[in-house]
Amino acid sequence: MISLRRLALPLVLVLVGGTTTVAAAQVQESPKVVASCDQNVKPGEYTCFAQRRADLGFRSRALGAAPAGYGPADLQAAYQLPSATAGQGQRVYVVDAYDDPTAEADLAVYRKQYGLPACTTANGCFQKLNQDGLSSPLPAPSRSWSGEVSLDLDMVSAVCPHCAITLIEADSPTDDLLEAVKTADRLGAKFVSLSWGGPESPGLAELDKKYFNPQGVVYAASTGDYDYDAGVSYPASSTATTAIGGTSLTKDDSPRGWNETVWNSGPGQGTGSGCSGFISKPAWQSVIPSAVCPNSAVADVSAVADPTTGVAVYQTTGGAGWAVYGGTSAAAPIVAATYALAGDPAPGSRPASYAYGATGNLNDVVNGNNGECTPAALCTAQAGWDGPTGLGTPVGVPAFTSPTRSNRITVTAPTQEFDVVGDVVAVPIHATDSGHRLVRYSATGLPAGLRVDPLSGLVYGRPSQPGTYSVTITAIDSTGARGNAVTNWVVSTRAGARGLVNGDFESGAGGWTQTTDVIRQDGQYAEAGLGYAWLGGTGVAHTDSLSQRVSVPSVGRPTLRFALRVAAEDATSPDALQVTVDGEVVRTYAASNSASNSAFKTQSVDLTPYRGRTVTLGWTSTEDDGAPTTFLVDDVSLGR
Amino acid sequence: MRLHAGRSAIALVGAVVTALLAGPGATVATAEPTEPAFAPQSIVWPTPTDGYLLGAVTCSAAPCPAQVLATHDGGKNWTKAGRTHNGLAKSGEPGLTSLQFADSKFGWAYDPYLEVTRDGGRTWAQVPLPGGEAKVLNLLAAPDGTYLVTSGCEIGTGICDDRPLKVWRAPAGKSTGWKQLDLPVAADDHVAMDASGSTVYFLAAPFVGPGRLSTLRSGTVRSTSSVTCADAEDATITDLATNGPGRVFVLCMANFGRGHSDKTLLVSGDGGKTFRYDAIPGGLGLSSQLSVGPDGAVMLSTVTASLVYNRPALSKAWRIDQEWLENSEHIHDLVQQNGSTAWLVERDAAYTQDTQLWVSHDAGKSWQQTSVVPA
Repeated sequence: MISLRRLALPLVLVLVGGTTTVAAAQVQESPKVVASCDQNVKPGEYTCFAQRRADLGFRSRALGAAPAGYGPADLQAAYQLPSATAGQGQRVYVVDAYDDPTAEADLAVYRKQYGLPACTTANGCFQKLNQDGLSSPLPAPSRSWSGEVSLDLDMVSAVCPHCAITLIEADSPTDDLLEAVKTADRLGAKFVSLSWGGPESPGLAELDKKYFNPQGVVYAASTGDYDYDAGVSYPASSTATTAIGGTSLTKDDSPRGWNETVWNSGPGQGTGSGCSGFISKPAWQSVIPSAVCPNSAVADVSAVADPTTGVAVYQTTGGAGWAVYGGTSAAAPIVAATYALAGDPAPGSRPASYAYGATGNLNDVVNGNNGECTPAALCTAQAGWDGPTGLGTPVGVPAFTSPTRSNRITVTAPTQEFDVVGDVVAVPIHATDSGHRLVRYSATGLPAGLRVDPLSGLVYGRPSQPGTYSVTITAIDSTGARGNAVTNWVVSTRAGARGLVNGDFESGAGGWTQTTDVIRQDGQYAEAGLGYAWLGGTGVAHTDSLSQRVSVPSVGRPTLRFALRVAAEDATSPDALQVTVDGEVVRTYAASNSASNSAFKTQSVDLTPYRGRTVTLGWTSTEDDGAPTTFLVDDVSLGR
Repeated sequence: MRLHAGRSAIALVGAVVTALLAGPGATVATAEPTEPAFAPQSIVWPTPTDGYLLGAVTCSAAPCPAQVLATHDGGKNWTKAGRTHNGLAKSGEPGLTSLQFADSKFGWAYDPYLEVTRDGGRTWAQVPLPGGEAKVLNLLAAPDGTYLVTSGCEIGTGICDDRPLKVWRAPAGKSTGWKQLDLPVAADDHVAMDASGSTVYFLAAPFVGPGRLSTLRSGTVRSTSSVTCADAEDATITDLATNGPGRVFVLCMANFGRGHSDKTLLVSGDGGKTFRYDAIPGGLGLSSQLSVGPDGAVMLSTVTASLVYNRPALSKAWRIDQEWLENSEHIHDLVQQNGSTAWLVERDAAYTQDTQLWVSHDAGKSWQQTSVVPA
């Protein structure tokens, strides 16, 4: 259940000359926030650290009106990030629990709002996988974790708009999340955002060993939202991760233009920090005296997390538009994406250590606390390292840049690949290594019947199962440097490949562009098989669309054929289905056609005027409020 | 005392919530309340023309004598078919609650007892439970055999220990030859079953958490997969239905309390390997039973608020008969006779003799209270 966070009257603690004093008791009520996920987790379970401003609610905003909360320009300015020029070719992995069914659509709205380049499955930028690295089946949806997913995707986009994004959705917020982390490593991830955590328990060293790649991979892990007293959160306390604390970020008149203090909204509402009870101190934390913390200390670095100074997020699953979020779940993807801007982590390096060698390149946060503790540095900001904010927040990327250079591997693979069941496939994949070394290829998510040659990168075989697959091709050289590429791979049935891709909808949604939930696989109203397209049927003012870009044969009399069934409760309603070619209406079917199309009936449209051209075939239904009218489309083909 | 999740628990919830929510002013909105000559408890339609109704004549004794009515003309005329040996449950006393027929002749009255008829309800025989089990919790009269879920806990004791429930199968048309199936069901699991031809879908689920969906053919488990509701951390699976090869529907509710829940219909075309999650608009009512017609029409009942949510065939839109809103009674035995006619029973014989039969002749658009007067 979503839980309401309690209100508090924060004391503003100001560090003066190394001593902590109460400067003022500001009687300022923190805004109401709701934690996206259940806070009460047992060992072995994890919670997300997203906090939404309940006082602001959800708001739908038209383009041109700025949503509340910090947007990409604010974050890029506050942290002096090279977002406009860096990040090309990098992919940030976001690991969360459960499915957010509107993740891609919501991300599109966010990026469009802020003028960021589109990041979609179709253009190869966005990828959504289950914890096994496959595009299907995805886990069950969750309204609560969807807020976390939206926050993560939006923050990665804000900081690194040129980065691609892979969302890996674990089956549940348990060790399934760690399985997803392991999958990210198998896919060749270099930057992984982990906006979740749970209480420490014995055996964490074994978890580290089992699930994390200790070298050459950035794991940015949130430190938690329930202040110092809540205890240290894992995996933030892992030496494999960079522990990301939270700040309160406000604009001011300073030369930087921004001020940051420890995020502390009151008792139990603030960034997490502390000293691990189970994990040994890594060498790079030697700057932290043993008297302060003899073990792994949390945090390493930090970024904005205070919901009061929160970030804009667009969310429709479990939400209804624009919201303002905070929590250290905001900070982790910000830092993960900052690492991506900085470039590849060297294979043998420990990314969490980078900042310890570049402390001059961080905003050292020296004000505020997240509780009371001894030694004070674990919960009180001070010059240099402190628990709540670590070494500080980003000033550009130097503190997140590997001190040693590594080979850069660039994998070139098609963004989309269309094949047919049983046909021979031979798709060459190329990788270039800046160190001029040989690479070994591997692939995850290939259609059954296909394999990749580890030496040449050739993907070959005969696909045996129709479907839409998200394939990750990974290349690694002998130094451990890695790169990958994602291909959306559609395998059509033979019947579905007559002049277009997946014309019988038996391969999922591959090849088609659709509005939400048009293509279905339940077989209920298919002409044959399981797949079909269902436009309309809503009974409200609504438009559905379905389209595919095709090449019209240049000879003969090219003809579009498709099976259509019309079902109208009110045959006199104005509901209609239009068939278009490049937006030009070539055929219209009305609700009154339901009598003659109560069962599927093959329709033919002469495409002779478009001979030899590449055009977009479209089906668009329009409905008014009233009785629903359903338009079912199946078995689309294009022949001569 | 814990109750077995399933019919008993739902009945209990329904009764409790009815008591809490109905209030003294609750009335039936669509018809004048009349003293029922026959109090219905369970209705089934093994074919669109053959229907059976388990109920009781009004009485003051406990348990009331149970009667089975039959129709063979789609419900135009009902006749007294026969009487079961066990009476209906009354005021918490043990008694029959449910009826199922595999075809127009062979059927079962059950929960917690087990009786069988081979002649369309005219004569009934008591059936000893296999393995010396104490009571029946659930039954599916499938075309390929009868599937039975039993407990070793004595009738009236609820869940008495942590011993797993047992699942049995008898061949079609037989009330002997039970064989125990290799289907793990925890003592407090909820079980839902349905059949499409010779394929049986068997779903066992804890109160909160993923369920295990097994696909059986002739009693042999062919595959098992996990079914997880939306908002899984606060969700429970309430029912399962199938309406064709590979088409499996699972009803879930999440974030439930105070008579409200977030309901989701899971739809699969591949026998439950993958699901589409259709959120059901409207939070009123705790979801209970699911009925899916061959044409894809979906109906689901709630144990509170007396609501039937309905998504007609060839429509993506859900609708609710608002006239039911004032009732707040437990409704159950939601069945679709054919593409236009559906039935349900209001209230439970275990708590009142004033049970009512409701019918919709417009695919769930509107419901009318009705009574059956046997010829």
